[in-house]
Amino acid sequence: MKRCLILLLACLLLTGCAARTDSSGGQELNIALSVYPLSMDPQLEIDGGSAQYLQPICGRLFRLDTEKGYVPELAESYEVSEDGCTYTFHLREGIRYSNGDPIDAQDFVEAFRRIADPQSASTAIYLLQDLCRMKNVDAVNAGTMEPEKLGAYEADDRTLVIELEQPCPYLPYVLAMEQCSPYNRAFAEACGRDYATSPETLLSSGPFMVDRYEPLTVQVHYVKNPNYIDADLVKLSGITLRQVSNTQQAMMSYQTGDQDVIATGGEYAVLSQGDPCLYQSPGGMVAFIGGNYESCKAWQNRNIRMALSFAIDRESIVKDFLRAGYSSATRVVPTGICLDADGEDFAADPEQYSSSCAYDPDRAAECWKKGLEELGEQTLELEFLSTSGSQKFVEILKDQWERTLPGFTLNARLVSAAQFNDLRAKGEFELYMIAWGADYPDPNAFLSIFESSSPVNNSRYKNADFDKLIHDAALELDPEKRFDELHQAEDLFMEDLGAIPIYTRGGAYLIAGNVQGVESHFSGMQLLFPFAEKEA
Amino acid sequence: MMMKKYIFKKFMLSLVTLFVIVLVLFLLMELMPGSPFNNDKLSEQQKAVLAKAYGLDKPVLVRFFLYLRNMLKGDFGVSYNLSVNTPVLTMIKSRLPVSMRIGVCAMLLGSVFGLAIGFLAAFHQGKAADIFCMVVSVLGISVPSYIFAIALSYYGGFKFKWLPLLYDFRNPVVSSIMPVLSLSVAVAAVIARFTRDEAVSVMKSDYVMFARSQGLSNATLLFRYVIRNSMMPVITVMAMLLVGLLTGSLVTEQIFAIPGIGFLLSSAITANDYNVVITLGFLYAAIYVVARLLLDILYGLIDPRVRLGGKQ
Repeated sequence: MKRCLILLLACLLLTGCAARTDSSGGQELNIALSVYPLSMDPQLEIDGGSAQYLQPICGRLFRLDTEKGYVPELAESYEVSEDGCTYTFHLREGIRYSNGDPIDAQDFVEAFRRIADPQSASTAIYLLQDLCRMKNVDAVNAGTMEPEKLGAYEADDRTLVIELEQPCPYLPYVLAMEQCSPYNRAFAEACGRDYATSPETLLSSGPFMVDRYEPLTVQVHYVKNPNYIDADLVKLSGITLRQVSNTQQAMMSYQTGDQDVIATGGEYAVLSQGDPCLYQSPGGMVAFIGGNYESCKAWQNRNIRMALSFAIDRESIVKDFLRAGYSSATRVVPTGICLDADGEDFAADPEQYSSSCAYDPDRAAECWKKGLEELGEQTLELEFLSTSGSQKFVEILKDQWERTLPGFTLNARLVSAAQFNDLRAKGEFELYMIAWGADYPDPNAFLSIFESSSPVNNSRYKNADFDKLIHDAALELDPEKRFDELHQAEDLFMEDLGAIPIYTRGGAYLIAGNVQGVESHFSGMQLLFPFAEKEA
Repeated sequence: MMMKKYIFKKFMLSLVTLFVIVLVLFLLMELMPGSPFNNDKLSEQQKAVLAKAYGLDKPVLVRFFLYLRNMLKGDFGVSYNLSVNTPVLTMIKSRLPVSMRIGVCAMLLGSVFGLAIGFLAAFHQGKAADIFCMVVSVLGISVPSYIFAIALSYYGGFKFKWLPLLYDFRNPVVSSIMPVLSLSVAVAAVIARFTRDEAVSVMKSDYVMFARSQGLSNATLLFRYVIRNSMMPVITVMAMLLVGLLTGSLVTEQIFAIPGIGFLLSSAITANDYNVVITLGFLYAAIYVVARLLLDILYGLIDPRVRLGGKQ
């Protein structure tokens, strides 16, 4: 028996002997998310999961603010040239990294050059190429021009100039992304390949610094960064962010008090309905069904598209299947995300396009009949490309469509996520569905993906008038006219029914009653928490 | 001399096996649909720049031999998309020890209980204790470990709050107890079953019957003859179980939010992160091949007939 006990003790000792490292003073916030960080290197980060984990350590020119949209963080002020293509940013005095090194304008320039450098193979290149069209970015990224000619340079230590190829009214939002935080080249080069893989090789310019981290871990611990410029605004002494992929475990962990904030959803969020601690953020992600305009004859037919749209009972999908955090969508720009300068919502009326997206089985059958006649077919069989994780959703869709549309057969083709993206990019599909989340709260983020030249326009939707409106809006400096052009573009797209919107997705979180200041990112998919407070 | 030749032959065979495994893994990754750069936000041109930066635009055989050359130098490449540009070894180094610690503990705990139950059942063959032990072990084998994990976390972590529900790197000892317990059940059950069968067969052998007829006590019989002679097949099973445990259990890792190796592999496969998949596949194979090699050497040392068989 004694031997057994010794063995058992040895077992436990083998499981590790690290001591608990609680930070002294202040309160620690524990957050359980459904994602883990893929990378803690800001310039190489592309996924929303890593963005959550990078948020506490990345100081940016601007940070997101739930009321004002964005507020200056490391920037003091900025000016825009008359043509809207040159931005001059003045940095705050005394900004420093967590190791005490000063942050100057060159560090921001280095960050942009690193993203554009083909050798760094940063997938964040889309920020400079597609979102803000930084001057010379294509040539620098292709390796045919020196990085020094990229449209970002230091006028002096505290003045950063960014030159764009076309106006970008939402540039502060792009600069509020973690990838645009300053890059200390000397520090990174001293760390070599191990840069950003441990607390010792991670540098913070934000409110917290990493205390414990290992690559691809599911748990990161942060402590307050005393060198942060707004350190007096930071009330927490530390934060632990962790991934809990099993929602049931996350719920139990929240109920036992181990976690202060958890991401929830589906049936688990339904269990919490009525709980004042349940926080549902606006749906900044739109899911829509697309079809192949090049090779799918049925999808080319507007009546067939209308029939497919009228036959979908979006309300029942949301109410009975998707549940908390989701709403039905009848337009491609979600409500509550894109506000103009006066605070008016671009998509104030969520039902504006209900004439083509309402659930109406009779009209669906009518359009279906017309569509089949135009195609000269009696029946129709289409393939729906989807990831295996969406199998249940496809089954619901199949049931609704086949029940309402006589002679229709939907075949599901379930593939891995990587294969799904690959097949979509190659145009090897008939129908598919994706959810699109915006990087900046502007209608352009939702509409420009249907431009014929967009890499995300997998449907190969082509409408010269639509393209022109998006192009004109991109060059328009008058915000009112710009919104007007984007409105016309959305009208045109919904008239065509270029894609079938199904639902918008936001986030659903349980936030303990003693925690204040945990808010939602405009996309609804991320939390803003570094300036939160927690009562003992 | 014969033993040296035998070990050398087994060693070379292991090397060839590992080479074939790397080749097959490499070709399988090549055949896998999709690309590592399948992010929606990247244009074809951007994907081409990335492929060039990582050398993925070179012919497959060139890439294979480059990979092999780097591998022999200890460089398993970097992650393409799971943890961009992070050396694969760095990623594995942080996760493998966690899976190994939990796996070894589950193995030790499972072995102690499995052996005890197995010998207890063998010595009470056909009696109530035997039937009870075997019913328990059949349950342990047939019920998946995640069921035990869920039950343990509900009762131990949530209802009675004895132990933390989730693995916590600030408190690894206590937060590993539930994962270890849930993984050790199946180990104990399998070992109990094997031990009992082997022990029963040894106890029926002539030399044990003779020893018993000489009036030796049960304890002497157990420790001097039964355990020693029935351990060989049990050790083989234990080695194979250990390989499975070292490489992590995906479901148990997910339930207790353990940063283990199983989850890394499944994420890498989903994301088409070639270098991570090949390295992990190779690691799994290497652990298995080394375990087999050690067992073969052990057999050869214990039983000279194995060495002769190897020579023939």
